[in-house]
Amino acid sequence: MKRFFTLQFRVSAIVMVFGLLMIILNISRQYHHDVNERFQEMRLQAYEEGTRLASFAQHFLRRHLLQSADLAISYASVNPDLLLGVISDGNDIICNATKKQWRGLPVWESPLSISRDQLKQAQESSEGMLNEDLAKGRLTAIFPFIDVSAESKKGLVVLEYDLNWFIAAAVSHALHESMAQAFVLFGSCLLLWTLLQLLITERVAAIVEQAQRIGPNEQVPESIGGGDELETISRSIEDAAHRLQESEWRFSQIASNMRDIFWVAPPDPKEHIYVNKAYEDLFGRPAAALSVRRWDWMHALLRQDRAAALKMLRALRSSPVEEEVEIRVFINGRIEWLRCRGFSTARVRNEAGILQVAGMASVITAEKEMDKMQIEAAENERRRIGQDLHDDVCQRLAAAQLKSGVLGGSLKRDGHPQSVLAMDVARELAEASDLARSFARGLAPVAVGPQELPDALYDLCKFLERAFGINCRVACEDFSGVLKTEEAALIFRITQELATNAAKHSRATWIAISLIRDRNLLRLEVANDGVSFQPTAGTKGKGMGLFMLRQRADALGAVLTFQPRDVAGGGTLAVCEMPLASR
Amino acid sequence: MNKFIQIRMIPAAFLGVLLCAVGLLWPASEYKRPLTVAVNIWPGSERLVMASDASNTKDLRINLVEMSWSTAVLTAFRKHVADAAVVTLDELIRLEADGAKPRAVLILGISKGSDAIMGNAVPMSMPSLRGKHIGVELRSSSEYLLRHALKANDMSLKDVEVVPLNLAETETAFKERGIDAVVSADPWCRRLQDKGATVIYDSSKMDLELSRVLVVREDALQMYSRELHSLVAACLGIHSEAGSPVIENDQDARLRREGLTVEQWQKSLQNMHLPDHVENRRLFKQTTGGLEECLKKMSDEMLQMGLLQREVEVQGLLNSEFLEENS
Repeated sequence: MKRFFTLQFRVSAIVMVFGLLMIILNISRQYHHDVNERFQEMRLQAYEEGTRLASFAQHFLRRHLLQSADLAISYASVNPDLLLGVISDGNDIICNATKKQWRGLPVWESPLSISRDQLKQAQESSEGMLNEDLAKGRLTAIFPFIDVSAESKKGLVVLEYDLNWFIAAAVSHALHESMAQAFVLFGSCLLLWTLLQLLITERVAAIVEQAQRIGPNEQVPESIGGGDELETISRSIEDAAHRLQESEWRFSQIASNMRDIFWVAPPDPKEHIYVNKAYEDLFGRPAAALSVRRWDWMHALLRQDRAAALKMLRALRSSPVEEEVEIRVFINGRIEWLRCRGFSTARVRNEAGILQVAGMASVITAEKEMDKMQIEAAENERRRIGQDLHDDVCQRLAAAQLKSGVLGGSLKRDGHPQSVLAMDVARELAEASDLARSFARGLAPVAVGPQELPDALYDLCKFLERAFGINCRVACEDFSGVLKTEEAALIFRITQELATNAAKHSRATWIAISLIRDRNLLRLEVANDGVSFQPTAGTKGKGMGLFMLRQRADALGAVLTFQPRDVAGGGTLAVCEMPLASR
Repeated sequence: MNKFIQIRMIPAAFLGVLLCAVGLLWPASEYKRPLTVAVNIWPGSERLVMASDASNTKDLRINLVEMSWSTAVLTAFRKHVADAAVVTLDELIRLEADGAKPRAVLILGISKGSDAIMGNAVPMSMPSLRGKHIGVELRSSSEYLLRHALKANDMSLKDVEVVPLNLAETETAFKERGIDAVVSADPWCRRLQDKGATVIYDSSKMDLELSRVLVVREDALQMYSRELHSLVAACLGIHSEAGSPVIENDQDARLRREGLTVEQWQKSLQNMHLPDHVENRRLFKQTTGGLEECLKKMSDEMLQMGLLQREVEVQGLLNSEFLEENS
């Protein structure tokens, strides 16, 4: 069926249909022209023959030259269209006829298809008349003459012609002509079809093949010849293919030499995902496997990061946005951090409305290590300052308070009026000592180790109740020997940031802190009943607090998520999960 | 280019060329002019008139042109007005000599007294015609009959006064003063006899010379092959000696055409012999006593009489093709 919609078939068919119409129109016109022309010719012939015979008859009958009249009418019968011709005298008796058997009979007894009225009408008229009966296919010419031998009555020359023959001849001629023309037309269309096959179809097929073989590693077929427009198209395709190959080569050089992963995921699941060479190095999986299993790359991702990666892909597939996610891949026994930046290509969208997605992934493990080190350094510095504050300033202030108290008591016993001032100094020093100790605890809440983490959290809880007037409860397991000191500090900092933010911004009435071990995970939950908080792409980079939270979570190798509480009162549940598998 | 497709295109291209060739060589319309047969009035020709009526169909059209005298028939044939004609053997030779290329295809009748030199009521003989006025249609079988009769009586055309007239005029001319005899043929002969004319010399004294044959122009033989086959078959299909069923009343078309009564018709038929297809074939094929021998003899005789300027080859004048298929 496809064959019938080719340009080759359509052109041939259009030419044939048009040709057939032309033949039909031409033959029809020719037929009517032939018939009309012949009919006019016959009328003229009948008129001439009738006039001639009438004048001859008048002359011959007057001179009794019946044989001459006989010869004259005999020659008239040579006309094949003449059915019967008669010359009747003034008494309506046929004296000469093309068929001699009718001689001697009254003219109305002959097989002529004319009525007596017509004969009478012709005799009364001095002019000849032509009667056409197209239904019977007859043309009758009646010409009167004066028969002197019959008291000058009117004799008649009657000629009856057959019209059917030339109509049939015209039909036959038209049929033969149309058959001949139709054969020539069919033959010509077939030759045209063959010619189009050679000149167009075959060469277009070659161009299509040429275009289909355009690819980075394909050898571009040479352009077709012919010196016409198709050759120009073919040459253009060849040039474009070469330019594309050069561009492809440059791209592949860049792609294969770059350290970052470059990837393109077409919207059609049947199409292969493109990745550059860096993929295999960083993911430790063959790129070819992607053509078999589109999601093969997912196996390299840490389980905790898969959801984030899928979420980003879903967002990119549905709308033309840019997304970024940091994920970890486990390769060769170590974990590498990758920052994936993805973007959608709005121009390429499949039927299901899915966009083409592309992106790059850079290794940021060193960056993450640096961040971790910075955090640890900052925490250590904070701890050192806290310890210094606790061990030195606080001790000195305590000693000064003790001494000023002793001094105040001594002055009072002596009744010295400055005893009041000394007691005020002692009280001020006590407050300063409490304040300094409080600073020291804030700077180094778990200064000793993870065993102090529960106390630090309880202190945090008391602080929140005191500062913000909301209920706070803590449930904390003992992680002594499980966590390092710096990890315990980071966990406290994350808890502190989450709880303080909830108290500040969520208008919560209570905050619940839970730090438990869930199989191989350390699970920190900070829940509240306030306004739900869900970080989006829009909230990214807005606050320093969230950034620091993520940085600390990353430093721990933990995953931090926020989710609305699925209860009537609403609120937010922040969860930070840190793997403990190796401990 | 794909070789397989190239090979596959060859039959299509060949078919295209073939169709074009068929179209260009497609025959023109077969609707041709009907076969026109010029026929003289002679009772023996009635068989042909009847056959013509029987054969004339929509597909096979035959136009019979009835003429009153021989020279009109000869002229019509010579001028290609008629494709076929009924003529005597001497007229056949004359036509061939004139380059009209006639080919005899059928013997319609052999005149055995149907052509005659007629004198007035007083019994006359050929020698008595010396110096007399004789009405004759020149360049026709009448002239041949007159010359033949004169020669048989050691006379020549110089011995008589020839009055040229047409065959149809013989009847009226006979009555005119100054005409002592006329050379005529049936049906005029029969009517003249009934009016008191006497036969001085007739064709019964001759062999096949005044046989009426249907001749067809050579180029029309192929063109009108179907019509001729049909016409000859129909003609030979009429077996009656009279050439038709017995005429029972005076209103019969044949009587009107010939201008005879039933009695005259019957007498007229006695003066001619109508050969059937067997005899036709025999006369066409037979070397001795057949048409070819007769034509050869007549050709020589006509050359001697001065009727021909040159010798005529008579071998090709006979065409028995249409008789073969009707045997």
